[in-house]
Amino acid sequence: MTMKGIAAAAFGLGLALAPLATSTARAEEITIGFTAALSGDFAAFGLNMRKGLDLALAELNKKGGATYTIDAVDDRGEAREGVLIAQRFCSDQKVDVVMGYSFSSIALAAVPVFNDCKLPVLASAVTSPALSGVSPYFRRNVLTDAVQGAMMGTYAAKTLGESKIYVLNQQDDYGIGVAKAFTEAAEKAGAKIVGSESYLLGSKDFRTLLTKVRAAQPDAIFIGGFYTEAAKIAEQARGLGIKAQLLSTDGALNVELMKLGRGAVEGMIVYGMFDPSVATPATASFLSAYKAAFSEAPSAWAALGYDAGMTLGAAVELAAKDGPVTRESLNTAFGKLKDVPGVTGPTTFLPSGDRNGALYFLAVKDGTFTLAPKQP
Amino acid sequence: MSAAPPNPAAPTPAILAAEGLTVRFGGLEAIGGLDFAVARGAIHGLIGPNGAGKTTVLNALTGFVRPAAGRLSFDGAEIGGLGVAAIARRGLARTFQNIRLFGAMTVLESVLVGGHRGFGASPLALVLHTAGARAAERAAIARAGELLDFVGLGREVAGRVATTLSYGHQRRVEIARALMSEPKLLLLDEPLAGMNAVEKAEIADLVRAVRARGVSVLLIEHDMQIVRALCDRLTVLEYGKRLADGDPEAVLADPAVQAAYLGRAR
Amino acid sequence: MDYFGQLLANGLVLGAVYALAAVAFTLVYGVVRLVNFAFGELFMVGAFLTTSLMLPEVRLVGHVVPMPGFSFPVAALVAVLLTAALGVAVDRIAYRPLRRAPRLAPLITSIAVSVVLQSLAQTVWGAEELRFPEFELATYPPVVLFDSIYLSVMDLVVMASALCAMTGLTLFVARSSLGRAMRASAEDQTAALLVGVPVDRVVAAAFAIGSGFAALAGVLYAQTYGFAHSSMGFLPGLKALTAAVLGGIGSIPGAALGGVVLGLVEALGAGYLPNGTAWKDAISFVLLVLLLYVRPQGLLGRPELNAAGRGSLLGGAAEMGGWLRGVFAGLDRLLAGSSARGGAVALGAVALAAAAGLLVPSDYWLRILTTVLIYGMLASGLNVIVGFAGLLDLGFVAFWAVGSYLTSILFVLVLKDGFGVALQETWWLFYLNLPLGGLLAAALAVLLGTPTLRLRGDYLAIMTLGFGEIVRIVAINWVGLTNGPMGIRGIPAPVLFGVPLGTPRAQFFLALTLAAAVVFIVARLVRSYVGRAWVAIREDEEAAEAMGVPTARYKLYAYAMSGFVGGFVGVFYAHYQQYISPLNFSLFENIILLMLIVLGGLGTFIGPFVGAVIWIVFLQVAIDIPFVQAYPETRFALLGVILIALMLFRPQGLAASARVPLVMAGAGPGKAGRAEGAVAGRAGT
Repeated sequence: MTMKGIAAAAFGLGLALAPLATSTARAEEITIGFTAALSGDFAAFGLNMRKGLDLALAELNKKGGATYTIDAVDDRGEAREGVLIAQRFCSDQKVDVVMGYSFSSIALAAVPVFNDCKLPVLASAVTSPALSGVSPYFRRNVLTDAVQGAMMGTYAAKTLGESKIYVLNQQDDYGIGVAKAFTEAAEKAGAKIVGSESYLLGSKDFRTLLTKVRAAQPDAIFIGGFYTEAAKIAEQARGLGIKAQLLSTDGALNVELMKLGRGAVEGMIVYGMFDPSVATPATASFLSAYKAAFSEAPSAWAALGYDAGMTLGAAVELAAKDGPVTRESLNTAFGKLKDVPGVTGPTTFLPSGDRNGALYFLAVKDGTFTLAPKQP
Repeated sequence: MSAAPPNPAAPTPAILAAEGLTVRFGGLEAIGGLDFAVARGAIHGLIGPNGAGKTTVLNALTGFVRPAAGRLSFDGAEIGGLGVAAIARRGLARTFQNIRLFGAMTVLESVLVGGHRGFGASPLALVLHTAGARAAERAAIARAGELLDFVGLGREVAGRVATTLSYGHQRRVEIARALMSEPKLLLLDEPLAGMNAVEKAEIADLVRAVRARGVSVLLIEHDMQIVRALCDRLTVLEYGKRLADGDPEAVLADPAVQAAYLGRAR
Repeated sequence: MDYFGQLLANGLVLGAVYALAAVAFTLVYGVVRLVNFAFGELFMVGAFLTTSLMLPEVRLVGHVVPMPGFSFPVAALVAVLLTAALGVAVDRIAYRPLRRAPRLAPLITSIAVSVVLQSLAQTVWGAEELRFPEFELATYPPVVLFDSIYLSVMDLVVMASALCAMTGLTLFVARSSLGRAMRASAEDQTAALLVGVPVDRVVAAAFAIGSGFAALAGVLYAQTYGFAHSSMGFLPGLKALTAAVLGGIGSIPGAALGGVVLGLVEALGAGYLPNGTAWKDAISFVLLVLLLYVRPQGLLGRPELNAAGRGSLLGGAAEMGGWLRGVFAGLDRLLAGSSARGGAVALGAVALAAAAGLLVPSDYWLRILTTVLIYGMLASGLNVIVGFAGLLDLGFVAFWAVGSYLTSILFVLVLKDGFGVALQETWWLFYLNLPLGGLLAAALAVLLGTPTLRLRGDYLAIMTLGFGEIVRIVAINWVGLTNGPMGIRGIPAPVLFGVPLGTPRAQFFLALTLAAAVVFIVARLVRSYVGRAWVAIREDEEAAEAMGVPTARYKLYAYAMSGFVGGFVGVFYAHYQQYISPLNFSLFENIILLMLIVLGGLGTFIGPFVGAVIWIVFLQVAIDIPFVQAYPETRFALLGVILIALMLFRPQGLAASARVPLVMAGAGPGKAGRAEGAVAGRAGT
């Protein structure tokens, strides 16, 4: 409440001073509609993004120029909520931009609404290729499954030299997309896919599945899914005497993986867009600020949330040059941004709303994610 | 409108006939080889001490219990093994020993359920409220009203929830509901239970009026005075077997019946 | 074939867990004829308690609480005993007052108990999985048989404990006097009562033992898969119920056999069918549906025909006290008038809704109101089978899904992607699809309902539950037909003669028109001999049958009608949301719909909408309460608690007294002074 009050006061001051001091940036008040699964089984992605975003906004607010506030709504991972939440943001004229999103299916349901009310979206954790070019108002600063899965496939076959790979995927848009890209890339790079099988999100018993896997005697198993299932697969695989190298995705890139899977996930290789060991000053200050604020190390999702916040800051600055920031001017500004620096690398949006970027391969070592010994 | 009046020249004089009717529950034989027949247009009494199997006979006749052996014919056709609804639709209606009215329904609605067989409008006709569907509903409502008058309740109870009526009135609603199906034979399971002398006499009159409409009646009853006054013929049951059968005066004078029945009951 | 042995072993471990939980269902069903859906949640509670007791400290409701750190056997024993006590308490509070009430009330109550327990567990233990602690026995290296079968030491413990528990129970039932009394009750309750069996003690014992078995199953399951979670009991609960029905519900050896068979079928099916793991949950439900066709009494059960099935909600309710009674009495007086003037009330409601649609300035609130209408319509469809015919249907969402998928597949996958048709040209197809989707769903309802309708209503509930899950799993896995979990997007908004109806306001008015149509059709059917037959079945199936109502056929009609509405609304839903995925059609949605009608009033026309308004608006308003933001699941716990209270004190719902007349409008005694006034229509006082 007080934040808003201060912001409003600043805004009023800005208006009063505007005719006199034309050259100084107007004190814009930017409201961010943030939505993601913030409760339920897969809350971790959304909560991490939120933490990163909060950190970025705190920095931006300190810097001055514009004030940023968040209106957060939990979608509980339920598709039904997608449309309603989108409409809530659309109808609330204070909301200038929407950020977040944990599930592609929910974002897909919401996009038509945003498209109608011309409200720009900058998402950070939805990776479905179906979202590419879906609307001129939709952007994301994360790579698509198609790109990430393919990079992992090449990495597994070429860099790690695995020749016989068994592919598992969770039966949803994410798992299917990533496994398909992985399979194609790995086969192209010379590996043999000795089998593939899918499982439903929320499955607990993988022993039968893994019994089949064991019979195929793979060198490596790729798990295209989330940490909850990846941890159980790892544990049950070791219990059945499977010693193959385990590979997974950014969906498994979460400290919960080690809590749930413990010893069994040791050595598993996953990927993500953020590597804490990259020693740039920006990364170092992000790391220390994040640790200070939340007393834990940031995940790739937090890093993406942080970068999304900084990207928004850059877009607001750009839009403010040509007058008051509106949804439309903000959307145009997003399209014009070039190489906004960030802890996951520079951000430039492609016409499809996607971005280019680098991927890091991380291995679980002594219960933490560290840069894998072999990088492409 | 109503069923045909008693016709002694009909090919089958009995509206209902049971031959060798046998009902078993697990290993226990509840009814053992029972023979009896209800004449067309008669008021037939089925009596016997408690636990003799009277209600079981009724349940077997109406299809609630599947007989283990024996033949059941109704109105000239075999009905053994048919389902409850199928038997009911042939014109065999009943009331229940412990009144079973539909909880949430008004008197009118309950009675109309008895007339279920008479409706046949298609769902589309119902949704469109075609003239035919409306006419059928109106005719049924009019007939239900007539039956409510007939059983002595009057039409003003039509809108009341049936289960909120007094016990005696609920009995009458049940009879109206059964009559609504235009039965050829009405089975009454202890219709006088729990009533005072005045009410009993009224119901007895009602039963006679039912017969006068051309409906045969099979009656289970304990009150011997009423039975004697009302019934044309009696069948006495003991331990699931027929003990006596015939004219009420003769049957009730039978020492075996007196020993079995009067010695036990009361 | 080289992994057959391992599959067999996997199946046996899984089967042991299913069998234990199946015993819970079977014991309680045997004694009180109640399918206690809450056993899945007692399973979960058992797992959480064990996990918590083994840890040195646990975060409960966000606070760190020190724990004793017991060893596994001690923790498991304490957890089993505590859960058994919880089971007995649940029975005391929620089921015992309903013992004499008709069957539908305790069945719905048990679903509400389930929702409450699951939501509370999430509040207490959090939304994330709680890791099952390591202990010594679990760290031993696996036992390897024939060089190919790996079994952990704990797998052997699981099988051994299941075997011991089963043997113990069998001995208890055969030898002890309480056990014999329990068996007598299961054989014939009235007879048992007559012979002087202490029924209350027997029921309490059944709940205690049943809950203990469910908890033991939960403990072993949590240990095997290494976690505890608030939703963990849901699927195993369904499987255990399936196993119990498979073996013959009411039979203890049947439960054991059913569990093992189900475990083996699942393991072997998942192992040998292509992509079997993704399909394995469907395998067990298909097995269930097939079995109910062929041998409905289960493998070892005795045939049990519809003896005393009553879906009525009258009777059995407790008296509520104080001011609350006054409030409801006032409400009843208000609504009592409405039933006589059904047409006027309906017109008033539509006018009010239309005014709201015109005046509400915010698109957001228009969307919310549209959601209310969609849920109200769906609940109206479910109300036909549950509210009017008195049969519990837990697979209703499948009809909704069928309608949605029919139109989406036709529009997007066939016309647009297949033939490259511009969708605005085929706008009329939407209006054709509305009845088509309804008819397709109704046809499925007939196909599915046929085998169960001669059986007790419980079987329909179980069958429909299996059906709903099958449809959902097919929607996820049959990617070629449904585009799988990716869902179908780009479904065009409805268009009327070239006028797009895409804005929230247009969509609202379209929804309002459809809702009026749904209520109109349902009302016309209910207010006729068809509706009278349904209510007669609900109130007393045998008496209805004796009046010449072919009850099986009319139950099927009710099921088909309910399916029709589900499919009809499903078509609109797809075009409204423009994107559908299998996520939209979960069993939880079905439970919510059921709760909406119970909240509003079963067997009334306005009940579903009353329930939908209250619930959907509450959900949106509650989002802004900070406590709810922290613990969103408490909203569902609240709904569950309200429902249990309603079931105990006012089972016909808030709008109970908005009694639906079952006589054709205009023909009945409601309108005095007409030709049909042959029956004077003064409502009694």
